[in-house]
Amino acid sequence: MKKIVIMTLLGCFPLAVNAQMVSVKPNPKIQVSVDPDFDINIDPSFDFNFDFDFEPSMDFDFGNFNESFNFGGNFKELYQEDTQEVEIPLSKPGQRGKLNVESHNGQVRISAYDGVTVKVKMIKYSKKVEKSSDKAGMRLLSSGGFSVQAEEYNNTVTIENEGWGNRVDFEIQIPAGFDISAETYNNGNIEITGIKGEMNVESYNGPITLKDISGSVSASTYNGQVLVTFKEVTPDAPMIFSTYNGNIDLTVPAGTKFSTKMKTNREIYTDFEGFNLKPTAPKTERSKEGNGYSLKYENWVEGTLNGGGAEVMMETHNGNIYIRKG
Amino acid sequence: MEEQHIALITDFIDGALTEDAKLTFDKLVAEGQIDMVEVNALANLKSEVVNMNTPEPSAELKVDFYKMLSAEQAKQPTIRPSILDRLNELVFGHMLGKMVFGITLLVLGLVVGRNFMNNPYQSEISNLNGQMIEMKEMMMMAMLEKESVSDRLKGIQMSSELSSTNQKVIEALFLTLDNDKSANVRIAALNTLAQYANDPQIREGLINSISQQTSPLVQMALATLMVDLQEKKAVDEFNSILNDEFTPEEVKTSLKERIEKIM
Repeated sequence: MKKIVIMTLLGCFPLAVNAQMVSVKPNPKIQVSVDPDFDINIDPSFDFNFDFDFEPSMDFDFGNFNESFNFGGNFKELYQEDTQEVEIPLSKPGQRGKLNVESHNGQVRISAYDGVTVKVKMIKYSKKVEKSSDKAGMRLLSSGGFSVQAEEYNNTVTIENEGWGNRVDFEIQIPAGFDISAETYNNGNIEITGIKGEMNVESYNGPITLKDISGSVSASTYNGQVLVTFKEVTPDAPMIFSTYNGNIDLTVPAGTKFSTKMKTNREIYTDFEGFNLKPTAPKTERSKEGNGYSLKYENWVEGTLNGGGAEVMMETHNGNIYIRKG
Repeated sequence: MEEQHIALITDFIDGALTEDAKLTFDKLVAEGQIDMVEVNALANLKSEVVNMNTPEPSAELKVDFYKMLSAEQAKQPTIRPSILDRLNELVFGHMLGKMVFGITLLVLGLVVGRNFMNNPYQSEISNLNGQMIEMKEMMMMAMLEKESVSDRLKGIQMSSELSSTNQKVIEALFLTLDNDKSANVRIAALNTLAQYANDPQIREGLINSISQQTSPLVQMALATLMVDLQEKKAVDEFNSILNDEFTPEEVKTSLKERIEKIM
């Protein structure tokens, strides 16, 4: 019985097994590059659990999902913007700080600047106050308040927008030496530029874009791509990038070393020559109940970059994974 | 008395003087260096000593002597050659014996030495090993409590170096899976625990943890795992998520599609 299962298994993925065995060095054909010829195919037949998770209706690029979704139509006509700016001084200017941003509705943009305070620009969106009455003789004067809080304690700045209803976008400028924890939900694009530190970003509806950063990152969203461009990667720092609908697009400096664990129903690309795939064999385990075997094909693709290092996990469902040389 | 001339005097008494010595002797007597009166006294003493008769031991004396000797011997405890002596003779009597003795002693020393040394050494090692594991456990748990996500991820990686049957490690991982603020850290904990999903206790824990999850990413990851495991008990747990008004519709749809694959 066991034999039959394995045979079936092997019969199912001759292609895939070939791809796994390939060493990623001299042969230009096999080189893992952004070459459409070479896909590390997580072929549908590859999935032992017959788990065909393609959702054809979702099959489009999620990169600009949010922008088009939220600003399309007559959004601007119905809503008005109010901008407010605050400057938060630090208790220990010039020293390392931490920024916590949490928002239920709205995007967060953080960039490094050459200053010693934290500058926060809030853009509130609310239904336009009507100048003329409607048919019932009523006109809108106000559409609910905002509940934004900002505080600073010992170089830790916390900014929160607790309301769900009204959207508030944040544009924050901070000194480069900051650790960041940012959490958004709806309209939750997160964009961070030029920061040096540990970044932990989480969204639900919105892409995550981290540019020119130095340090380590943990990024997750549900709808949207995760795009991260490193200037420098902290060695030995484990990282995770995850999304459900969207690509994971990672750019690291040429000499970066790490070990990857990747999972996607789509494709994985890299232009690194020093990327080696680990052949992954189906796991056979003796199960404790009864005498049976449980045979499981872990569809993780494991590999090492420039010899390997800390573990970097990348997981998406509907999207490609890219590892680029910066 | 002229000590220096005593040799001449004794030779004179014995009548053994050579011609030359006789001349010297006479000259010395004439010069008055040797007193003839004393010489004659000496000669008399000598003849007396020579003529003294020695008493003969009687026959009884000999018999009595042996009688007393044997009586004395009988009084002493009989001393037989002891085992030690015999062994001594046996071992050190010959060259071969000496060599055998030397080698035996060496081997014995090694054996005894090893016995005495080995046990404390080995127990020390297992002791150290235990301490190492304990330290790793403590380190891991301390890491899982850290504020930095990167540190917490390190903690989870450390846990995979520890045994899957380690209760403390498993508990710490479940605590992280159910309570960690970061969805990514929860996913990492889930991935580690999923490796041991064949363990009924761990599987039970994973099922119980479904209802604790609010992040759609973690919910989907758990749903995928439960489909892999074909775990029917999970379906009820997911119903609570599907009925939750805060679960986004698209997540509900994806979850439903997933769970339907549990036969």
